[in-house]
Amino acid sequence: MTTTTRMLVPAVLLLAPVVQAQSPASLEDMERRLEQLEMQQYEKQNNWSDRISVNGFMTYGITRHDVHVRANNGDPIDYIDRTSDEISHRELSRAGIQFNATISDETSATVQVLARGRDDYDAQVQWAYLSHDLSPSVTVRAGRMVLPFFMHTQYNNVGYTYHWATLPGEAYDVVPFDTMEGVDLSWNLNTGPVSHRLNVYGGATDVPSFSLPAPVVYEVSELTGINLTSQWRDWTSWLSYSHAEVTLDLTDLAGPTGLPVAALEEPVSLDEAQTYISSVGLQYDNGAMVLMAERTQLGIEGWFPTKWGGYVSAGYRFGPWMPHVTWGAANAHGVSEAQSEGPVAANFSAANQVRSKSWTLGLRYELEVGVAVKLEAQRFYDMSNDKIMTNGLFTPQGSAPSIEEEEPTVFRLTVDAAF
Amino acid sequence: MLQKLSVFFLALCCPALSFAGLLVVVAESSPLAEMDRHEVRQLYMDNASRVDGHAVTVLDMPEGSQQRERFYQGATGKSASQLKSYWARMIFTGQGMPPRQVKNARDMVQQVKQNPGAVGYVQEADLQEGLRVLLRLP
Repeated sequence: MTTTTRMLVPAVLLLAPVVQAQSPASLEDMERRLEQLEMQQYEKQNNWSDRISVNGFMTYGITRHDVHVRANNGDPIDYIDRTSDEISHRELSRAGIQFNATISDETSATVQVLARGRDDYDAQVQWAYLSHDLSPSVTVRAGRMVLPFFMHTQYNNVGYTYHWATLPGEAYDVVPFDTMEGVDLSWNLNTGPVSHRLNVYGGATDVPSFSLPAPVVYEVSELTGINLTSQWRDWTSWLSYSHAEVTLDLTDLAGPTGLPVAALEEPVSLDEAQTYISSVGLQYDNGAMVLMAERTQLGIEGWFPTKWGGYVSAGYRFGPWMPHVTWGAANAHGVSEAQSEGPVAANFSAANQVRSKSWTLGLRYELEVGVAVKLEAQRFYDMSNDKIMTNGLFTPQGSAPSIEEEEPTVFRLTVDAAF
Repeated sequence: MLQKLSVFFLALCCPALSFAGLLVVVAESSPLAEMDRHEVRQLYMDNASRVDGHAVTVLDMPEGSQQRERFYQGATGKSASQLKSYWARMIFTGQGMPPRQVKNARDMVQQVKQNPGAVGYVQEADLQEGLRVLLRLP
């Protein structure tokens, strides 16, 4: 043996245990342990993020109209009680956040809060419910929920989900209450290639309203409704019908209006007035072309005129750009019947009547996935004829001069995000 | 010489392999049978938690990943922003949540292999033992 070899032998003997430790059996052990550790880490993270999820949406918008005529009391004329001829950063701006906690495979709890610029960002809970899957296709929910009156009502605050800066006012600014406390049931079913969602609900709500000279409360009871959403390929259809009894005490208006309290009791104040709200809608979206149309109706027993509204909208996607055009219309009838309920009722009825048509031209730009910028202008026309004189969705003619000659236009610019 | 020729032909085949589409996969032990494009679309869009009576966990690649965009374009024809809009409507009306997102392709393979109830999608190149293909997307 050479000297080198003699030195190598103890070295080999020393290294032998180390070499032994690198044997295939131990390598497997280490790999398995590594996999287990990784799995544990994934599980821990998945457990947490599986249980609670947080989602939100936000809109920043500015809007104004271009009618500089003043109302009879010197105030600016308002569009839907809120927008004037001066730029507002508050009317369209809003933020919402939703917390969803999984309690089990079938049960979850959801709370969704909305804060609007026009309410000075006072947070209101719009959804707060427990959801339980009775079966893979039937879900029951109980708590506070936004009412599904019309096609887009339940997500009307999530601007990112549609192409307009605001939903067509002729259809969506009609019903003065939007949430209820109650129960709803949803059934998902397929008939061949068509998938359906049938939703029924029942509940009640008390909604304060501040759009009249004094605050009033709409007491809505016996509220029930049914709606059906059907989807086939690129088409979606919508049918809905709701019924309620509305009680509205208007006697508090005596002070501000100067009317005697007696004149504001029934039949001017509503007591369990039978109310129905219905709509039929259609959507088409093949990735490039978007079409939407809807017809809505609101009827309240008594002096309140029966209102209907509708729109047809078409848009086309050119990459991130989507120009769109919409025609909208609103009308009311039953004002002459209100004459029989007395002068006060007749006046209120006339103040609530609406007649309006509009063309909206808009452009939506997808800044990135989850953020869209929108610009639109809506021009109103045909708000009066020889039978009725209205200012459409603007301050009524009882309180302001006719504005039709002014070619009233509302402008909106918004940034919508969903995250 | 033969070795050189085989390497040469393999090299010719490689570009073809790199254009392979996505595969919808489950674990070997999964009870699920082959699916068509329509069923995959329903699984990923309609919030299904059961298929043929078996509980499933639908797995998705992270938002913003190219693979995810390609998958949805192939299976549903929807772009990333259309999907975002669709899920925003579903989430904020309480009608459902999007499928759980994994961290990356390796994580996807890991989770599908280890969970017989999981369904996911991988690139052809990431296909491994332990995975069974339900559908090949172009």
